[in-house]
Amino acid sequence: MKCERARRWLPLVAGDDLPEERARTVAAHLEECERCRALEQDLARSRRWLESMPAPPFTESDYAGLRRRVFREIEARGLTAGGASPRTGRLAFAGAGLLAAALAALLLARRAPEKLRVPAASPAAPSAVSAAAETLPPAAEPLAPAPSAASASIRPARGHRRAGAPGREQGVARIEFRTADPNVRIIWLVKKGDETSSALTAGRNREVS
Amino acid sequence: MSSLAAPALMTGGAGAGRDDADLTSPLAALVERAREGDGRAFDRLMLETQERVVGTAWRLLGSREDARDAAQEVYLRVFRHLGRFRPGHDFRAWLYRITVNVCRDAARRRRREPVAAAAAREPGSPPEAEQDLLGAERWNRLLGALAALPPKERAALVLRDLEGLTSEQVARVLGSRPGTVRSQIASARMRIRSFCVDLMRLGGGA
Repeated sequence: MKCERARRWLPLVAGDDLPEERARTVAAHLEECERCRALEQDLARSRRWLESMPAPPFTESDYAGLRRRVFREIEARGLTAGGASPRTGRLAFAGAGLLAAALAALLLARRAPEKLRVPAASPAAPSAVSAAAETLPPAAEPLAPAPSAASASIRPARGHRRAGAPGREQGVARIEFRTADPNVRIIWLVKKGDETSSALTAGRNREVS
Repeated sequence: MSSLAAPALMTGGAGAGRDDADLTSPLAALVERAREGDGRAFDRLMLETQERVVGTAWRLLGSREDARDAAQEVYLRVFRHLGRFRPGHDFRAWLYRITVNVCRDAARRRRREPVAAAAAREPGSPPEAEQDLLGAERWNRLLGALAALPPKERAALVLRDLEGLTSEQVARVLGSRPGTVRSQIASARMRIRSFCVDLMRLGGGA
């Protein structure tokens, strides 16, 4: 065995940490090599020094104080054995609630991308949506049932020109508002280039503005 | 929690544990009862293990105050996570693991001065038995050598040579392989020897 390898193992010989067969090999080398033997003796001595280190400087009163402090902290923090503290639980609960609210808001936003935030009783200004509106069809279309969950919605009129009544459609835009009440629709007729406008209700024909 | 508020020491045996193979057995019953909220059992658990926990923390951190704070944190973690401890496993290894982790965190957080300098100012160190100059020098060398070790080597050496665990037990505590631990221990012993070698030449002790 070479000295280099023996020196790698010598620290383990000092603590009996080598497998028996390898320890025998190192021992055989030590019988032949004085330098490695000296190193082995140094290692053994320093290990003895380490083992003879005095006990930690703590007294019984230190230990009793430690245990008292531990129990005091357990009480102060409201810890339970093997569980989280009530405060941690409350925080976790609040965090979960906030997360759920955020997810719900995100879900709603994704489900109704076309909805605009307009109160049902106060239609949006015609100028804001007139660009998207088409020209007025000659007759009111049958009422389509509005989604029950929606409180109000605005959709541009889906009308189309009718060949028989071109005169009525010229320069007029139709904006239709659906409300939560399926029997109430608000139809806004806007004459292009005219600041005045009127809103009619369909279904029960209630005037809302 | 009421039983925790006023802990009192238990007397008598701790009862038989589930595993007979290691030193965990006497503690197993205490652990079980502490998990159920028995404050006396937890107090007894601390009483049975406090010297090891405090001693290990002191050897890893090098100061009384730090060791005391670390030991407190160790027992709070033990109490909080008793539910995670699986009955039948080595409680002592689990406790050592928590101790090493707490001390590692404390050392990182506090970035304390070297062990030798801190220890030299503490009352009672070097101890009365080491009053002679050479003994005091040996004491300081060892503390300095321990402080100079890389954290993993120090933990391995303290557990193996000062706490008396086997290499395999140290490996379990540190979450390493036995071969890695043996390598760390070998390196640490060589460094300790280097720190002490000139003192040995002067005839500093056995």
